Amino acid sequence: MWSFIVMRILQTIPVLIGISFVVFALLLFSPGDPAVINLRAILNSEHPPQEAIAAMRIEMNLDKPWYIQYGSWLCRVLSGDLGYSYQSRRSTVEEIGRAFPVTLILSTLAMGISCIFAIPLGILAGVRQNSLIDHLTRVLSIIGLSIPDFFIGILGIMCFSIYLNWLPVAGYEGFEYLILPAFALAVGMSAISMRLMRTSMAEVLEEEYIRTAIAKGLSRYQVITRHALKNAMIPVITYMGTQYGWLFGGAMIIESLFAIPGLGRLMVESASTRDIMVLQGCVLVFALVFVFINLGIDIVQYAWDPRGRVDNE
Amino acid sequence: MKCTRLFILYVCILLFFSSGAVIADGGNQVLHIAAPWDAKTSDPHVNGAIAQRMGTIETLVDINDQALLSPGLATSWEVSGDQKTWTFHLREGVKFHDGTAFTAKAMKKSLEDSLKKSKTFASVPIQEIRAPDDKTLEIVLTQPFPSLPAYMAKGESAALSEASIDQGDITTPYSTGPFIFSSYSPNDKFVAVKNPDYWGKVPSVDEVVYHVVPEAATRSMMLKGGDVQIAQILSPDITEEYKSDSSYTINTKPISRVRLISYNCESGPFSDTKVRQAMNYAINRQDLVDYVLQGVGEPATSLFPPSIYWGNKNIQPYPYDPEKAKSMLAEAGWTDSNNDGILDKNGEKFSVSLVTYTERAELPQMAEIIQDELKKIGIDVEVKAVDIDTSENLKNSGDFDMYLGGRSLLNAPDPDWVLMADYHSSGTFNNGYGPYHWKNEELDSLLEQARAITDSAARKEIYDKVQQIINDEAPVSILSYYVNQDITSNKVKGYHMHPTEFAFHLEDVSLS
Repeated sequence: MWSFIVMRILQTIPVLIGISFVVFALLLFSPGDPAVINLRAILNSEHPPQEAIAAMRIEMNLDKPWYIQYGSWLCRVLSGDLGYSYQSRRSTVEEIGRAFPVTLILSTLAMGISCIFAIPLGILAGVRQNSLIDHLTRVLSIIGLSIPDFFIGILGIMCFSIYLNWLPVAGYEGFEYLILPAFALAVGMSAISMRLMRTSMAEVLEEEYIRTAIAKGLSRYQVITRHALKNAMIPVITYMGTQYGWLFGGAMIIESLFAIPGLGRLMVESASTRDIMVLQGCVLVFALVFVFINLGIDIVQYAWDPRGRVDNE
Repeated sequence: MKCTRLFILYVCILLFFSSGAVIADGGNQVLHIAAPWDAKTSDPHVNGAIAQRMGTIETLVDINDQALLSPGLATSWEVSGDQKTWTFHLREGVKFHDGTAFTAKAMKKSLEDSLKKSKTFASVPIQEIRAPDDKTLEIVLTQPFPSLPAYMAKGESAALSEASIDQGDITTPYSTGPFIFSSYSPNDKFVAVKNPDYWGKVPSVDEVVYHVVPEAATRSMMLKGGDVQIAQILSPDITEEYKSDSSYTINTKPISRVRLISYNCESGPFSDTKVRQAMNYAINRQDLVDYVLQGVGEPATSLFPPSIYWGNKNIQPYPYDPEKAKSMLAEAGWTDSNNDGILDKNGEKFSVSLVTYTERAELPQMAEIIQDELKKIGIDVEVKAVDIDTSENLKNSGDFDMYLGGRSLLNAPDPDWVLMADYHSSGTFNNGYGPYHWKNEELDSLLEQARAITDSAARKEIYDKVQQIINDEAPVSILSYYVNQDITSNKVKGYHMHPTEFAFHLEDVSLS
């Protein structure tokens, strides 16, 4: 078990190095002079003066060749220094440290809501194929998949914040501010997980070992929860894990709509203002989250599914 | 059935989730504002724009509602005969938020911190700052620099107490404004409370919360949901909804930013003054405002809007007259000799490129209308809508004929800054944002003359002439002024917008 985990962690290192190269190359070849871009933000002016640009180029190391810029960046990152934001003059670690927990709570909440919806409904639909609940969840999935998350967000605000006045419109001052955005994010995710859960459950129920379990006299409930669910959950966990990872960088539209100071917004804003060090930090964190979630999924599958262990031991 | 019971339980949990409470405010009068821009930092010397608008900081020089410099923490200022030493006389009886007195010594320390931290002052030739006595501050320059007082109105030059400066990266700035900085969280909000000991008009509201909300639609919904009382910078399609609603007020203000076409005055058809003048008759400015901006904009006349002090109020708008444009082009030698619908001269077609950028959504749309209008008089225009950086590269290398862009005029709130950078030949030949490689001897000498004068009325006379020359020689076609629209709930009284977005004037605002 431990050797498997250590091996998986070691496998992530080349992935991270690759990511750091790609990010660096993207920034290097993106249009515009980063010095001008930074000065636009600092001076609040679209057109910064020439003297300031020259000074900024030297300050940002832009007069050096790319491998020196990359090398010095990598050394700093490995020692835990992600640089600082040209926009705010705060350190990247501080910026990400502020945004990350917000996104973590938001994504976890969205994930939780999605699980609460999707898994039981998916199981029900899988167990009772072509019943009323199956048709109902199918319709719900299609609706949930077809409506983009920001539109659900706007509908939610209009209904729950403006008309009913139960929830705040936007901002982040406490848990209640995350309910609507988490729902908006959860709808699309639930739609897919629900269908996946149904299909997977239906497939597992066709397997021979289920027939054996029924034949030895177990109740239908026991068969489903004890025998079928474990196997049926595996594809759903893989899908949900990937979705969870995406939420850390991909919830940008919802974070922007609801004015939540999260990681997705930080990433997109730093990209659009080309706040290089912050963007690099964000992408790095995003990549790390993905790598660790994948690691988590692998470990869960390893623990749950004995078939997977054969290749590794 | 167990499954059914479980299902009901889940529904109950969901209902529980959706019954969150709304936070209620106490007895304090709290004003909430939703705006698109983040303050970026709590240190005004790094970026002071939002703090200045919120009224938590003050500067030596203020900008009044006509965009003219006026006394702030300095009651008056003058420059020495050699134009190199500026003397500011500081206001009496002013206290910082931490209780210490506002003195020349504190201001010197504060300005030195500004110079160290902010790039805003990179082009200001300051040699030394002196405090000969408590109420006199002298700024010594290495060379004459007439817009120094304008730079002393920038938020980054804010007066901060010595205790604030000693923090290094300032997290709690103590200035002198009508509001006291309370807290700042990035990309989220900026909170200020009333300063009961303010030297001027004491605010009526107790607390102001400035919410950073990037989406205009969300700002509007926050206003409708009662979460904020002021929603700033809304687009015309949103403000339209409020026109028939009497519980809100639409506030509209032209700001000191123009949309203009800069011409390549070095090569191509626009090197001929007559052709550029013809363009001014060929473009329907009112149509651009009506159809692209839904009427929220103002067709432009002079470079500076007539609503502010520096605008030349005598400049008459160019009427839309395509026939006149055609005849002027014919005078310049451009006629359709081969009847293909496109003008030509000496066998060369009138085919030009119009470069613009997509970051400001209205510009590409305007470019298309202009393309269409010029086609009617026989000019073939190719629109290149690219990102702002690419557009600037094209412009600075002269690889364009017309450049459509937005330009902020009073970033340093003095006309000298934009005119020198964009219209003086030292700027037009050096990556300025005005016409490309254009030189007018009279305009150059007028601008140099104005630099030696400090009297506003005398300077305005010169700048009026300069604007007249720009209008007549047409190195640029000035199309329209930007207009900001903020919507306030009717609970808000006394809100008024500033033409350079210098202040929100929240000390004048009360809540009913």
